[in-house]
Amino acid sequence: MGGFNMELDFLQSELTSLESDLQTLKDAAILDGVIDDEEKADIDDLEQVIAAARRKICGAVSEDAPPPMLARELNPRMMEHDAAVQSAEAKMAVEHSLARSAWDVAEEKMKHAKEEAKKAARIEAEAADKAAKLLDEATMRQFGITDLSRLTPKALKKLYGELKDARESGDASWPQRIALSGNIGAVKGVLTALQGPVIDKDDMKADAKRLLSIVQEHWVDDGDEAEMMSIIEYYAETPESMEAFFLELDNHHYWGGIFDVNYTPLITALKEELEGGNGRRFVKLMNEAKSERIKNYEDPEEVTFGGVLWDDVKTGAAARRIAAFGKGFGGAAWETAKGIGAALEMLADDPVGFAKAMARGAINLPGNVVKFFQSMPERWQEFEQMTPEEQAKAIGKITFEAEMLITDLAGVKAAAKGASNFVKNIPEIGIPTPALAVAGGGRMTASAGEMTIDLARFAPDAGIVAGGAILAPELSHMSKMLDESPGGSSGKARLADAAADGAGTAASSAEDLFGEFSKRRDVQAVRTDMQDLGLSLEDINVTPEDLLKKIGKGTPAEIEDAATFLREKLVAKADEMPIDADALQSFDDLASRDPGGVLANRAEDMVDSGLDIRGGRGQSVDGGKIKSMAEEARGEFDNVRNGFAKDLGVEKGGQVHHAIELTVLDKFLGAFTKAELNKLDNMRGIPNELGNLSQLHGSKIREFWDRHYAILKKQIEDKGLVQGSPEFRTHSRAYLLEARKEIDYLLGQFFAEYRKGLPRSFE
Amino acid sequence: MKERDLLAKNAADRLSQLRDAEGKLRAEVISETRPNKNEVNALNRIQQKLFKAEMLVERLKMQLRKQKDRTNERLGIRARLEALAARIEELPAGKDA
Repeated sequence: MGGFNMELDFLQSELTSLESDLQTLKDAAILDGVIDDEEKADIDDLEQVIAAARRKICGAVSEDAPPPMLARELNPRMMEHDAAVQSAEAKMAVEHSLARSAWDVAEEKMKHAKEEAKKAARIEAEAADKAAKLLDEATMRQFGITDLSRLTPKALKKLYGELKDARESGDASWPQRIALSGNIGAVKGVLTALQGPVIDKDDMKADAKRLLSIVQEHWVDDGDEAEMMSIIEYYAETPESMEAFFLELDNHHYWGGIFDVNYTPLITALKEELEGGNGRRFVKLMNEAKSERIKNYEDPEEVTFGGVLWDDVKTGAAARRIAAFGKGFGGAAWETAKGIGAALEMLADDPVGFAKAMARGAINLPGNVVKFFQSMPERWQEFEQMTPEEQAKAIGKITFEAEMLITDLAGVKAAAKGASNFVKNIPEIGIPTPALAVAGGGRMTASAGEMTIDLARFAPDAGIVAGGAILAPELSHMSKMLDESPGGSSGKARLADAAADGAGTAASSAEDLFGEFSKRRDVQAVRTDMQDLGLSLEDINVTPEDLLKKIGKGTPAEIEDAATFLREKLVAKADEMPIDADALQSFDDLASRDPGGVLANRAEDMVDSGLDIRGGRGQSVDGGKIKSMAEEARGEFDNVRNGFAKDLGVEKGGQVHHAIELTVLDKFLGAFTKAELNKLDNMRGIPNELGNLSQLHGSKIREFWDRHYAILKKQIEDKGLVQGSPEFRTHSRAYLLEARKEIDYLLGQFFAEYRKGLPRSFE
Repeated sequence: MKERDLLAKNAADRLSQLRDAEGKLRAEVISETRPNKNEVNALNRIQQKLFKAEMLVERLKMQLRKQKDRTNERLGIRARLEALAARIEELPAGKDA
């Protein structure tokens, strides 16, 4: 009886244990979310087998009949013996197993713990190594899941922090920042996967602050925008995180503005800064937000600059201010100020008429104020699309900028008074002016500079061409204003710094030069001569020897002597100075006038190093816009085109063509100068073609040049010539001249001057 | 189950190819002096998509691993059951006794 029951108990409990194991498996499959038909059928089958076994056991046990007896169970003594043996065995087994299992368990645990610790340490060390390696590569490539899945949460967290530090450090360029942002997102994604979807408040705050600093401190360029989007897109992964991020964004704002301190919420700023597709994406995300506040977000009414100014203009406050400044300076300044005042009155009374008059050029505003406005294509385009009233406001804004400059002139004037004597003497001696040009103090932003000079009419005493010393604060102020005003760009701030630096260097070098030169020349005499000759300020701005020749003082030998002295000084000084496009030009000219001489070599070196300084790019800066050399040359050409047209016999509908195209100034740096390409001997007349076609200029010649450019580029590549090096220049120059000859030979018969029998510059 | 194994493997292979291609493209784009904003944005979006897809594939692989483990355990249960059934067979039928 006992044995049977024990057997039954054992079977029952074994079945129960199997049942529970099966249940656990089933639960796991359901939890995991993947349970296919095969698995389901197998589990069902097992359940049925277990149930059948149970039924079988139940069938064996009957409540009506006593349980069957095994044969040996019929003998009571055997039973007792069995029982005794069993109980002793059981007891021993229990004791033994208890002892053994306690020992085993302890040992096992110890061993396991040791192994685990070792393994964990090894994994952690490996992960740290990998993380360090990843950090090095973070700006170069995007981490994949295979990179990150081998990292421990600890290493991931550390890497996350380090990546963020790298992004915030400011050493990274914008493509690097984007790469970092992408990787930060990836690391965070894995962290989130490991630790559950937690939105880190601190991170979110940091990201919002990063956005804030971008919109607040920079003029947002493409790179900044891409970085902003990468942050936003990270949160846009799920609606919940985007919602949380929006609520965080909504907590940020800044106070800033151009002339007034405006309250600008971050969301408004983002909406304004993000352009095109990015802007639409951001607005779409806002519209999808759950929170009513974000969905129906309204930008607070801003106190805009235009609004303030418009009020000023309407109430006459602007006119009064300008008049007051003008009066303070007297003379011409007062007249101009009165002109601006009258214009502003008209602007207030009749904005539409004002805008029309402005377009006709009938308004007496400082010429360069208008020019400045027109020189900025974006502004101009914007302007054309405005309503008349908006146009009036915009004009008012420019006028107001002028006003601000006038305000500053008061300070400049005071500074000029305190400036050393040499500054006063510069316009009269004129000699250091090229030095200033060399130093880059006289150039920089053409528009800004011109505007400054224009405004300097208000304060004639201040020394209009006192050069960098006076221009510098103006330029830096101007650039700063441009920087802050819509349509400007952050590049201008750098420009202003460069201007200030350049001017400082120029001033001190000019002083040195002047000091040395004045020992050799009679300063007073030169000044008198200049006045007698009626030299204007523009006349001063020529090369040293030209100037001396104009002054006509001294014997030819003396002039040559002085010129040589100055040139040497210039070259020596120029070594330490920043170099701009014009300076390079003058050195190039210098070199061509003294071929093979020591000076020429030095000058050539200067030009070469100048090219290096400018990063191998033929660019200059005009009105804050980077201009290529070709664009600059094109601008200069536009002034002389009509004269050439006459020389070449080009009639209406025809064109003046550059035999060597201006684009080579950019394509093959240093091969030619702007002046060379804009000379008559490089001009060819293109007659008007039948039906106004452009088969010659637009097609045939284009074909020739495209082929030649390709060949030349190939040659440069094969020879391994370095852009801007003397070999590069010599080779490109020779090649391009040959190419011009070829084209002239083949197509010369079609050119206007050939057909009309006019003098021509090709054979 | 085999189909899903194959799917996971193919997807992982394909994703790794895509990841390589994206890497090459990115290197090309950011080596330019002024990388094109739209291109960089597009690359970023591609990266995010790739990353998401990789996460999914990893998850699928993990599920498949778990499923295999469960199959093994079920085989164990079946073996134990069979042993048990044999012992049950040996039981004398109560009612008949």
